[in-house]
Formats: sequence, C-alpha cells, structure tokens
Amino acid sequence: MKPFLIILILLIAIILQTTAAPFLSISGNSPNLILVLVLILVTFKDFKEIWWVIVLASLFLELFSGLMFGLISLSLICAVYLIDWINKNFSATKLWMKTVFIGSGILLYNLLLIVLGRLFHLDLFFSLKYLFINIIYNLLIMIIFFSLVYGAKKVFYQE
Amino acid sequence: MKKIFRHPLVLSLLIIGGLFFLNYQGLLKSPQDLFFRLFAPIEKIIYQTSLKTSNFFNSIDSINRLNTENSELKQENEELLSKIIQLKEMAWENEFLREQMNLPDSENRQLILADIVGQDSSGLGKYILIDKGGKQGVKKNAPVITAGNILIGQVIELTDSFAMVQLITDSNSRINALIQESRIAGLVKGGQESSLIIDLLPQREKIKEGEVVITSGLAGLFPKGLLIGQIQEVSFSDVQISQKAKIKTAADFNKLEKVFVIIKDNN
Repeated sequence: MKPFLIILILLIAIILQTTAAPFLSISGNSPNLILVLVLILVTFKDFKEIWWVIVLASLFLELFSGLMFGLISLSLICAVYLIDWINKNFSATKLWMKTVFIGSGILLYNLLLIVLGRLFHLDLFFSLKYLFINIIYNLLIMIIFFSLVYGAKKVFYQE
Repeated sequence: MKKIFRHPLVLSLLIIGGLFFLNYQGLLKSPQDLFFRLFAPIEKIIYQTSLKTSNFFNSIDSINRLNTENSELKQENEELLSKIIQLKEMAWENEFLREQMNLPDSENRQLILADIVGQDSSGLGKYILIDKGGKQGVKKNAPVITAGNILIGQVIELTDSFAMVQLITDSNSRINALIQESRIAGLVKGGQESSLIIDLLPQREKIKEGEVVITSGLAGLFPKGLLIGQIQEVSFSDVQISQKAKIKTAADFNKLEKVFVIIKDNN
C-alpha cells in the first residue's frame, strides 16, 4: 500500500474518531478506529515495515487528546510491538486467529494506558465491564473493516 | 550500538521522546494549530451532522415518553413561573441596594462564543476541542459554560486558534461546589460514564434529592454561582467520614454544539 494512501486513511480515521465516533458510544465506550486499523495492519505486515505508520497514528491521537502527551503513543507502540512479536511466533493465517490477536492488542493497549496513567497520577476511569465492552465493540469494528476490504477486493478482482 | 538505534521499536520510542520534549517546550503548538486549522472545517461539518443525526434518533426513541414528560414539565413550569416573579422582585431590590451602596455591577462578565470541533480521541478522557484560542483572548484554566450559566468545563490546553476543554465529567476534574439550599460545601468530580459525584460532604448534614449544586467560588478557579446539576442519589455509610452523592448534570453533554468561554469575570 502506498504511503500516501495510508496517511489519507489515518487522517479520515482520526477525523471520524473525534467527530462521529463519540455519538456511537455504548456505556461510555466509543470505537477506537485508529487502534483497530493499526492492529489490523500489524497482523498483515511486519513491524519493521510499518513502524512509521504507528508513530504517525499515535501522533494524531495525541493531538486530539487532553491526556498527558506521550501516554497514548507509548501504550500504542508497546501494544502493537507485542502483538507483532506474538504474530511472528504463532503466525495468524485464519480470521479467528487475527481476531484473537487484535482483541489481545486492544486489551494490552487499554491496560498499558491505565497503568501509565496511574504512574503519572492520572485518575483514569477503569472497570472490567468497560474493558469487556471496549474489546467487543472494537472487534465488531474490525469485522466491519475486514468485510469492507474483502468486499472491495472481490469487486476489483472481478473487474 | 548503532544497530540498537536502527531497531524500529527504539526508533519509534526515540521519536515519541523527541516529540514529548518539543511539546514540553511548547514547540508543537504552531504545527498543532496549523493541523487543526486545516481540518477544523471538515471536522465541524461532520461533528454537527453527527450531532443532528444522533438527536433525530434520540427524539424517535423518546416519543413514547413525551406525554408523561410533557405533563411533568407543565407542572414544573408553573412552579418556576412563580419563582421567577419572586426572584425578579429580589433582583430589583438587590440592584437598588447595590446602587445605594455604590457596589460594582454583579453581571460584569465577558464571554466568547465557540463551536465544538471535535471530542477526545482516547475515549478515556472527557475533552472537547473548541474553535477559539489564545488569539481570541482565551486563557488557560478559563471556565467554559453553556446557555443558562451551566458549567461545562475548563480550558486545559490552547493554541492560537483552538482550545482543549476538560469537561466536568472527566475523572480528573475537581470543582469546589456548594449545595445551594443547605449551603453545604463539597468537591465535585467526574464519575463513571459521564456522571458526576459530589464528595466530602459532612456526615451529619442531611442532603435531599433534587437540591441544586453550584460552584462555590473557592480556590478562585471557577466563578461563584455557576450551575452544575441536581442531587440525584445520596450514598450514606456509617463507616465513612464523609457522605457522597450522585449528581444529575444540568447540561446534556451529548447535545452540546456551542459553548461560552468566560474570559473576564469580576465576581
């Protein structure tokens, strides 16, 4: 995929995440489009090839967040790197395996954010119910993304 | 040694470290402002369209409740009308006494109207981005309100043309508050899923549901008398030193489109 296209997709995702996504909130959880996109990307590509995408994605997230600068970036980079490492060792070829890896990525990202927040004395709201809904909701978004990509592939392939 | 710095994880962390340093020095403000200025028009359109769509679906959902709500509101309206008449009389008396004693005008407040451009990207914090910043006179820690003197939050970060506002429902927000009727002071903080909690209320005091909570003006961060909400549920325990109560916010944070930033307050 061309870098220009990746940047464009990230820009559209961050705009939607800060404008439309909060209105789709369920029990205080709104979809994290950027996180899902980055985790999908890492299950297909090597961290070495896409590290700049992750840095750019985390920078976009930081710009639109009131949280202390660096918290989101650190959580995102570390979570994505760990998922990449797991993916390399237990290579995910089937969709259910990718779903499990992405779900673990979402869990790791949230846990890291909470732990780093506590380290910097930030009072971030956290509960198991919140975490559970967050993972399920973002996995649903992932399935929608996959369906869109496979649908588009089929259309272009037939042509 | 060189190999370590070429590792993508180390490289990514070094870049983030560099950006953290630049942000700490305030050098990211201008690029951030430029980025916001480039995308704010699109953001505003999408945000407002999403808000209208959400309101439309909410109104369909609430059609069944409208009849009962309507009769309740009619009754409340009648009660409020009589209160308004009493308050008008008191306001006139107050104004008259102020004139006699040569006291300054109590309503000497300067506001700036701002549009909401976007919301927080992390999902964990409750922040909004507004289209007014340092150039328009907005300052850090400035209180943000909505129509009806209802407190929304406080400016925590700003660029030349934009400001990030921490909503009162954010878990890191702390406001010195007062229960209007009983004059009991407490600390309002953000709770779960956009709720508010008033904490540190004295154990012996009796707190009634429905009582109005306003800012106390203590610590000087927020002006006195801004509306926060109404007491919804009091949680009382013999083991704790103080009482807690859940607050029903006066503002509907899901329907916010425009807000006011207080840039000067003489109260």
